[in-house]
Amino acid sequence: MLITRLKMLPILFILCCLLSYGQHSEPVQLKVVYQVSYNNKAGLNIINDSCVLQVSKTYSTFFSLGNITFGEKMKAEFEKNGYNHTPGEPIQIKTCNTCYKNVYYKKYTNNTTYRVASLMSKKYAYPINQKIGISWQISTDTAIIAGYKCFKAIGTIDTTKYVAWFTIDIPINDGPAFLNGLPGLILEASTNNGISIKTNYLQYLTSTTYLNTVGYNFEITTYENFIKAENYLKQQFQKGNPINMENGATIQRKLDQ
Amino acid sequence: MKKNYLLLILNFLAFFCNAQYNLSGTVKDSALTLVSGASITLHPKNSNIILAYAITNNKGFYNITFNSPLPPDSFYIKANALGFAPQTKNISSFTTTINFSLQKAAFSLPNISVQNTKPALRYKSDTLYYAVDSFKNKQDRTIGDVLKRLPGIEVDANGKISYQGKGISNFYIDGDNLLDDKYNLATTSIDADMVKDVQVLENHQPIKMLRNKTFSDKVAINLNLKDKARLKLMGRANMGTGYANEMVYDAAINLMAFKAQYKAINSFKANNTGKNITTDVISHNIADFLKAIDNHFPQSMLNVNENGNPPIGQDRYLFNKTLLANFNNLFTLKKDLQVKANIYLLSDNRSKDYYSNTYFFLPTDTIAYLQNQFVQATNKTLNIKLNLNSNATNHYINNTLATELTTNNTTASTILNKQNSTQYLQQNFRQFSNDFSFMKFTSSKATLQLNSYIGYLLQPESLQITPGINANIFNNNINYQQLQQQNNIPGFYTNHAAIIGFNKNKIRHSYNIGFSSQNQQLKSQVSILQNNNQWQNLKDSFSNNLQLNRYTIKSNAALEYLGERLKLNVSIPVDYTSIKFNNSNYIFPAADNFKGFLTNPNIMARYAVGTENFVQSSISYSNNMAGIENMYSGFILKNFQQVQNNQFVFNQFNTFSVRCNFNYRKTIKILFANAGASFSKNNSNGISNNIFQNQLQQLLNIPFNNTSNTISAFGGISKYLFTWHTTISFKGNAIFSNGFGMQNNRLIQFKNNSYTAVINISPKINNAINLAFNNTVLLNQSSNSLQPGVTQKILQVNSSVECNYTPTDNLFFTLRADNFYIHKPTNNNTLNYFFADALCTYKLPKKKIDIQLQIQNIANVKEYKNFTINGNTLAETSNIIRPTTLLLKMFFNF
Repeated sequence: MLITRLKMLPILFILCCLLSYGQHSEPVQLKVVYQVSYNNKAGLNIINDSCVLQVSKTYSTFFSLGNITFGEKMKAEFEKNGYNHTPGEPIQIKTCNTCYKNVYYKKYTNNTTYRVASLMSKKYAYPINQKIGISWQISTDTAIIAGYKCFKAIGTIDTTKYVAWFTIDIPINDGPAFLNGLPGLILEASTNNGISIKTNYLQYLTSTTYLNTVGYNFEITTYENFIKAENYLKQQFQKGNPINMENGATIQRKLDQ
Repeated sequence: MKKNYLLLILNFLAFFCNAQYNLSGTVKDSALTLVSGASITLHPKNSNIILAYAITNNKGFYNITFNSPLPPDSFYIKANALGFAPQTKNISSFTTTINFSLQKAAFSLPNISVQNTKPALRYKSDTLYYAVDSFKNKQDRTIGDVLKRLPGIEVDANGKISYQGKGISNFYIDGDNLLDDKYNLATTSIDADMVKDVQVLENHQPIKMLRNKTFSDKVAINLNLKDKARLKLMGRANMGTGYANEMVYDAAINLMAFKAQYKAINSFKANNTGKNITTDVISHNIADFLKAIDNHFPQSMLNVNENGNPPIGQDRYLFNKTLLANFNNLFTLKKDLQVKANIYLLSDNRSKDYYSNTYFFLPTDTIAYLQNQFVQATNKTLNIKLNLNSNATNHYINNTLATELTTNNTTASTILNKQNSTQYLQQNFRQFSNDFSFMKFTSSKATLQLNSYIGYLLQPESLQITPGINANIFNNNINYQQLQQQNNIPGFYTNHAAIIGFNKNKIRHSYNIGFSSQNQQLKSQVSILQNNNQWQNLKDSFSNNLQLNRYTIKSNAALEYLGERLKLNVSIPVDYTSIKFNNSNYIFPAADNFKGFLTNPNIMARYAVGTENFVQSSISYSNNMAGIENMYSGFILKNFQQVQNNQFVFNQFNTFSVRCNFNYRKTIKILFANAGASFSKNNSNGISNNIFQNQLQQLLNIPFNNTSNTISAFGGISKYLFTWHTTISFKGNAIFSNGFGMQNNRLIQFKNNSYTAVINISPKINNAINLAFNNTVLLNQSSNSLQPGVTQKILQVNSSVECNYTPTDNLFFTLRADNFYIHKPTNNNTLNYFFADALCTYKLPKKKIDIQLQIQNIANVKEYKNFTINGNTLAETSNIIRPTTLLLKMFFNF
């Protein structure tokens, strides 16, 4: 047991380099529910997900609710493999009841976007601004989306082209996932590789409203430290060393004899 | 647009003579606290275009650099942050510090819940997209239920779909023409939940080679299916039984596939509930098909003189036992190559019990026919159609091989003016045809088209009347047992044509040369069964033996102008027709001939007065010759009451018609409107003389030049009201016609006026309740020269209300009430009928099974009387109505 604990020392060392500790909760001023869809090249719907952006005074969190609905293409694959479900009904799965996927934390005070990820059942946030930064070109195209007048903006990261529709009527430099950097909230976005994000619901909240605290209970680290810790854990796992999870569980790979 | 130009000009000027602006400053609130994350945007004066922007950092600081040749007073800068009122400031110099002090403000923006981000209706490239989910109600089962409610679209009682008053030419399912024009099966089978969009294809040209080369004013509909409809075979079945004076049943099974390579709707239906499933095999565009092959097929000549159907829903008066097996399968072998088989087998037994009093008001007398009739009819039909179609952008091949075998047996027991008789009618129609079309580009990029049609038609008919009637006419006043009429018109028909078309710039000119032939024979014989059981053929005037050979050399030159706004089509067909007529009957000479030119020119013009509006006008003149069924001289006993013959051979008639209409559409407001008028003048060198001889009427076509005119005006408007989730539509028309008829050798001039107004409203009160109102007002006026100063009038007001209530997602209630009001002011006769039906459907959770309880004719109305007028003729009819029917049905989806 002691040996096991001792083997976790490098991880503790790495995580000692945390930049700061968990964030205090602020009332949520604005809640936006986005419908995220992914279509394949033929235009067939693969997967749909509902995600939430919660905007507070100095930061925002974005996360998936974990209610995945499979599109017809994926449904066909399931059916081909004998997945039993009610014909005609959508195939829905709840990926996780207590954890949340695809979590982004944007801190307005230092204009930094963090990706929140789990390691040993604990959440860490590392900044991704250095890796992802979109230089937007605003066009004169306008559209009415969810009742708001929106402007079109086009940006590129590597080979991925992003089209965003934002409204200056909601002057928040934010949007779904890691998208931001525009003088208003992004209500719709799409990419040239089949991802489409649309606003389904938008609600202004009273100043005393606190929503669920997803994304608050994490510790901030650097991207490099997180990757180092993750790789170290992978190595330990490959070697068959037991790994203690934050929730008390232990996982260990059974090595071949 | 102006904004785009402005930006373009700014960028253009900036490129040549840029001056750099450097704007910076801080944003604070009224308490002088720095505001981070505020949006700072730079705009041109009098515009909200964003030229540059910045977001304040955690110290409330911003910086904007921007290149422009324009002076500083051409721009303004705006600061905006959540919870603060926006603030704008002018710019005084190229480099300046502009600080903002924002005032706190309450959120005034509303919460938004976006139910459907897709617009309900959008228009792109001659195609209108109706998002089905936007118009669908909870109780809607099939796409036909939704189509009825789409603004701009109308579905009539037979299931024919019209868009802006024009019938659709093609009905596609995911781009494939599975059913041709027998599309009722699709609208009554395809689940509304399977359809993503209903697409209306305006100016539709089904032949890909001709797209953008010729103008088409046809309209087609395409059902764009959801992905889930394309994945697997689907099925829907229902079984039901109930009681309505006898046991009733209603069963159906539909198997459907809508894959890219294979599409099919195969169905089997049977019922005796009054539901008319033969509408599944109605050809809605048969008139267009006959016009295209340009051959005159004779109609059946014998009947039992059954009255017309009452103007109420067929399910209220139809007593039937119907069975229909309908197979439609389309295979896409490779891109642009398809084979298709459409086969149906129908067995339809119907009965009808009614009485009809018909009055002919003559100057000195009124002739009355008081008739009570019970008709039992059986129809058995096998229809097979095999089609090969290759429709590519560089070639077109289409071949359809078709056959139809029909057997009708009808028995009618009649009491006419207290005289009993029974008619037995047998008809065996056999039709075979092959229709071929080929098209390709020539080396000079002209389109070359070859069409060939070959058809053979046999239609033997036999009518037996018991006991022997009108012995004074048929048997020298000696009583006899039975009267029989037999006739047949076998015919062979061909039509071949070659068309070459040239396109240059906006002009298309095409030339057509062709040949058609009709070789027909008409054989008829009246015979009687004497009391000694011996059959005796009546001679001379009661028999016909005609041979008709008609050959036509066809030519046509057509010119089209395909401008952006103006489309013009001028067509001048000239046909040289030779008719050789040979009659062995004694009245006419042994042979007669007609040789001459017949021309049918027409001009059509369409002018787009806006992006979505157009005016269309057409002028046409047609010159036609009657067919063999209007050439015979010997009597043909059409039914127990009518004999018909002709005093001359070549009944020629021509029609001049003018039509103008205006179509208006505003897609963004979901508003449709159309209005127009038409005039037609018909000249004929013959007229039908109706001679009354006791119980018998002789319909004698005699040579007499006469003219009839028809003027009509029509209009309609259809609008979707977003606030009330309601489609409102109104249409109206007025038709004025005059012409001549002849009765007992006396010429009668008649005038008929008819006015119709229809209003439909289908409001959605809330998520649980929706309603549908329909009100139709019809006024018919008729006057004739035999009764000067007398105008017969009949007013009909039909109102229907349907209420759908869905308290939960699994439970639906429908209540329907129809009221028919008929008023004849002349004798102050008023009739009023009220029908009510109820429906309750329960969906078993997670089982894909629906249970439905249906009660029809709750008030148990037993008969329906009606009046019709035409010239000096008045008819009163009364039909038996189906009794109260209780039906329990189960629906299965698999």
